[in-house]
Amino acid sequence: MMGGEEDVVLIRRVSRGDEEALLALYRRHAPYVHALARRILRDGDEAKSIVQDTFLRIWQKSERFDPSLGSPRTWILTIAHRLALKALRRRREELPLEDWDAPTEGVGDDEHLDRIRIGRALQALDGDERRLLELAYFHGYSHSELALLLGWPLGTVKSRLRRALERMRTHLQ
Amino acid sequence: MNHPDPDTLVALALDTPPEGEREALLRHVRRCAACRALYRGYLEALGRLQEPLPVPPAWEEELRQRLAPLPPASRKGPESLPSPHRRWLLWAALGVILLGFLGVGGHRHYQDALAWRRFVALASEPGARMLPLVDPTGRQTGWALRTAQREVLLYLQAPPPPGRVYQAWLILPEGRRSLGVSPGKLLEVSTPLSEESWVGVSVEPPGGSPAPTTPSVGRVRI
Repeated sequence: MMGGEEDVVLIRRVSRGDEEALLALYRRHAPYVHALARRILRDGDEAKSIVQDTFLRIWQKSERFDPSLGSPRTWILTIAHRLALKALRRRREELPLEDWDAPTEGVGDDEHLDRIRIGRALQALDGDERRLLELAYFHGYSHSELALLLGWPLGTVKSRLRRALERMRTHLQ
Repeated sequence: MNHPDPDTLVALALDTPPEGEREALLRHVRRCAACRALYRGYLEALGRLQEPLPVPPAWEEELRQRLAPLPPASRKGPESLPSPHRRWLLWAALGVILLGFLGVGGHRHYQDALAWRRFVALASEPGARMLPLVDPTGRQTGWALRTAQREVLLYLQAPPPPGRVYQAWLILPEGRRSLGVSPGKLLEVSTPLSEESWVGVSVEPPGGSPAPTTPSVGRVRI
């Protein structure tokens, strides 16, 4: 994982106030942050704010990076995910559950582009697992909220979600 | 040790537990290799849900401009610009800090700052590896650093109590071997250590002790 090791060095340099190191991290990871923010918020302007705020947060809190808990990319995405979900909750947007499955967007528009960029790793999942994972990760619903939303027993939500992630992990290895 | 169940680790990776619970889980994950591996795996999988989406080139320049007004030493967001009252408080706080710095502890603060600077500089070199130092309760108390040249440095978050020193130990099945003492936060180990060595730190009287006389304040497998 040469890239990961280089990223760790960049984060150390950021902690010493090295702007160029931050911008190097930005060039490597901003496209992933952008994709995540766009997917969660479905809004280009808000996604831009999340991208900027994520890297400003890294600039301010780089010393909090703990390599034992994950790679620099997962840390960066964790920050972006948290910021995007906060923005989503602030907006108090309530997307009807059926929106996730209904192919209403026109081919070629922004929504469609967002959908086709979903990682290929999701192809390892069946429809229910995929929907569950999307609701959990992109909408920030907890296990109990998902049980209410989907009308499934809590234990079923937990086991299916875990199975989905396990399957993705296996698929990625 | 009570391990969180895998579903709880899934929830942690999805960032859904409340803040207090999340912190407690992360503390456990930091010290438990099995849970850490599971958690990291989930995070990695979630990080692959999206393909990258190109970023307009102009955004980078905007980011650079937003960085410029933020001095690296006191990085605060533009939303937290101080009001006149808060500014007065800031000046007062700065005055207190300055007095403290120039007082009895001034020299030690200066030494600590130099030590931290050296530690960070070495940590940023290619091939350097940072590991958390943890006490017997699992709380992180500092960092261990192994450089590409196999130097080992230990940095404790807090200085030793007044009149005491930190002493580093190589932990061997047959006992403890001293690796040196330090009156400050930084311990530099001059003895070459083999891979997977266990190192601990204890608080000792000035000059050190032939064997640890207090519980470990931090240990790590290098």
